[in-house]
Amino acid sequence: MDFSVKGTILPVLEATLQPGEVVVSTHGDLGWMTPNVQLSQTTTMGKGGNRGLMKTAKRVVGGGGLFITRYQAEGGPGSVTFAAKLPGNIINVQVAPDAPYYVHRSGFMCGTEGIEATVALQQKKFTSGIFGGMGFFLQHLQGEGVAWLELSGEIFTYDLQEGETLRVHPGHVGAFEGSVQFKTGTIPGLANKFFGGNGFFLADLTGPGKVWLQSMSIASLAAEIADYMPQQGGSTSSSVAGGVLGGILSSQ
Amino acid sequence: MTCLRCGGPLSDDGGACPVCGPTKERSALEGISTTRTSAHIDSPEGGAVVAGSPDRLGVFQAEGHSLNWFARITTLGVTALFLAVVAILFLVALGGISAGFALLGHGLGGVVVGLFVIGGFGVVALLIVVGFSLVANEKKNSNQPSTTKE
Repeated sequence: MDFSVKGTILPVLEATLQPGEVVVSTHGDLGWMTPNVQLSQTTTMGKGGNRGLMKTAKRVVGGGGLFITRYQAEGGPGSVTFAAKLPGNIINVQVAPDAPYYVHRSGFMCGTEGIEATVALQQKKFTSGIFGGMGFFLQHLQGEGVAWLELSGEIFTYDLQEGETLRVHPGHVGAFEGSVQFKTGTIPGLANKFFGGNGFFLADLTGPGKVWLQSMSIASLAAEIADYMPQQGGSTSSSVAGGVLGGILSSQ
Repeated sequence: MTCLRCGGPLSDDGGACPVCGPTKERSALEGISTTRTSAHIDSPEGGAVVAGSPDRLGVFQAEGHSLNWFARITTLGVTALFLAVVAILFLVALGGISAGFALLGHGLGGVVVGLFVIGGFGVVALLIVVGFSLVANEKKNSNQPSTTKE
């Protein structure tokens, strides 16, 4: 099978499947496909086809969903295309038994059958997990195969040496190798916490290993566009041109 | 981007420093070749890693494994719930319209209510038929040849 990323701002991933080949996805990223691609649902992930209630529950908690969708070409070559939900990039990683990956909750787009998505608890403190901006849970990709990840905005990659640490706003953490240690710490100083505008927490990523950072935090994007969303009662913010335009349109 | 150790520029392809080098050698998996925007993967004989086929509900059944009852029961439950919600919403709408006729029609409402109740039962029956048709259609689709079947 062949994969190809196409497009720029809102890219798509096109998978070309030979007869019998399968690609799996955990949530609704399907864009379009040829008629001979057969869809089916399973609760099983991974090479061995093993399943279990706990594994399924862990995947659900990690953001992977209850069911896995299998796309299988039948009777001839077929193609299936997955579309990114947000402006950003689609990248691939090779997952191996000794090379797992951690991805933000909605980061796993699709992958080969050998990939297994489950949950990972990276934060040591429950409170920092809740308020850290990245959620308490991460998706843990293990098994063997190629996984495709969707990250928001531009991607910046760092190859951290042993002991090297990057302090990252949690919303900007896209993915990192299993060898990277992830710890959520607080921003020092009460004034920095309350008046800095950066929240209370930062993620400490410590090498060795590779990290992928995303320039667009989904939480920040939501906060930015929230001002321009229609308020209850039909009124909209008119602070800028977009708000004014939205108000005019909503009054029509 | 700059290397956190030597301050030099990082390579575009993987973020590794050309001077300090990558933190570790990442061995590529056998049969897999990838670039930044593409990948080629050699599949096993037959294409699929896990052999099997979907059943009439669209639930994948792996060969050599016991039936995935959890997935099947969940699918049937959600389908029944969906049909029930549609039926209830329709009956509520019919009830509202019937009540309106009853209030305004001075007697004619009773006849209209009766007609709408019969119509409501008809819709429920129709939904049942649609449900069975969906299952039958899935059965028909699942009978198509599958390359993963032995």
